[in-house]
Amino acid sequence: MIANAIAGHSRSYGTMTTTRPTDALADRARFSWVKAPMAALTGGVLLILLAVPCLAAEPPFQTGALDPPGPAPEFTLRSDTGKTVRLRDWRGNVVLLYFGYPSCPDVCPTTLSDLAAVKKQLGPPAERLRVALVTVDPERDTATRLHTYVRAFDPTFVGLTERKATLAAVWKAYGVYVQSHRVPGSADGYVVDHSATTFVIDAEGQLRLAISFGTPVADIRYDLQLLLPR
Amino acid sequence: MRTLCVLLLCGVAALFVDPSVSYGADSSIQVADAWARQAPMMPAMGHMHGDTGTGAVYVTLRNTGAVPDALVGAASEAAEVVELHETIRDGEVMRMRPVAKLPLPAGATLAMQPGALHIMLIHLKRPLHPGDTVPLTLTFEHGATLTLQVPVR
Repeated sequence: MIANAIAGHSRSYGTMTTTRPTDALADRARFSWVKAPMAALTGGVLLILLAVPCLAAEPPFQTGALDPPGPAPEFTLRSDTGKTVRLRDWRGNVVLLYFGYPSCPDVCPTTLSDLAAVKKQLGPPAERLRVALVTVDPERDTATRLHTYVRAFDPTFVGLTERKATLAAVWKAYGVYVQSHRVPGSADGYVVDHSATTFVIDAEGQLRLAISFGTPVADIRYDLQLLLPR
Repeated sequence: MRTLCVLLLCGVAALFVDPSVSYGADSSIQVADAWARQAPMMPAMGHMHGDTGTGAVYVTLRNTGAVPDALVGAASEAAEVVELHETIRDGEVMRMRPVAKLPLPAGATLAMQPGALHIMLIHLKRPLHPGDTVPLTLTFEHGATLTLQVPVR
């Protein structure tokens, strides 16, 4: 494209003095004085635009990309069906980890409903998705309780619990803030202040995304489509 | 969700209201976009209770009148206790706290939404399934009450 523009330019030089308005070739050639630098500039910009995504190490995520990604902290917890779950058992799948508790009426069900919507929209590729709720309320959350809760959002969602000390190590490893808080005057007894981030671990076990509360479903879906094995 | 417009204080209610508070014919609270999040029943800790759960209702309130008012309470036959709560965002951390009342200045609109203000249903007596409706009664500072049928989704 750039070469053509330059060629047009050189041809134009000879036709400048003998202008024939009906001569299409000459007409085009005369304008090429303007066109040539413009075309060169446009070509250059296009090259840069094309090169940037190719050179960038990461795909353009819509949510919170972790840069650089690192190995997701390993854990061994107990599932809502009583099975031992090691994070590495899920290698080959994209894992969504959310830290919350079933007595949470607002934030946790909002996130789990959003994740259920994402999973539904993803269709068949979502078979390689594992969604887990790690409890921040081990005092109240038995496996049975977690089981009833997570299944209400999606039958494949998994609840994870353990003794508090074990859970606390996992919270810490993921940088999740957890603080139980007595609420005077509330019938609920206590609430748990907690980070409402959804962590995304890719099929190779790398921690790739930290998705903030309230991120649109479409953005989460977009990013998971980039990460899910094809 | 269609707007459910409810005029506060018909003549009967006016009898129970402090006469110093004047509710003109234009005084009204509009309720819009009321919905409840689906909520399952779960085994409670200990053996004193049966299954229970926790739910949240979101409504948008608009005080179209000339008199300031406030939402001071809520009740529902679907839950043992209903409280007004606020979730406060602090970076990635969400902190939830009960609030005693939600002021509704004249002309103001108060939109509850996930991750912010909500009406919390504590100790649910039945699960909230999508498609169900939950009755909810809102009590306002000047004594008026509104009863809604809130759809679950």
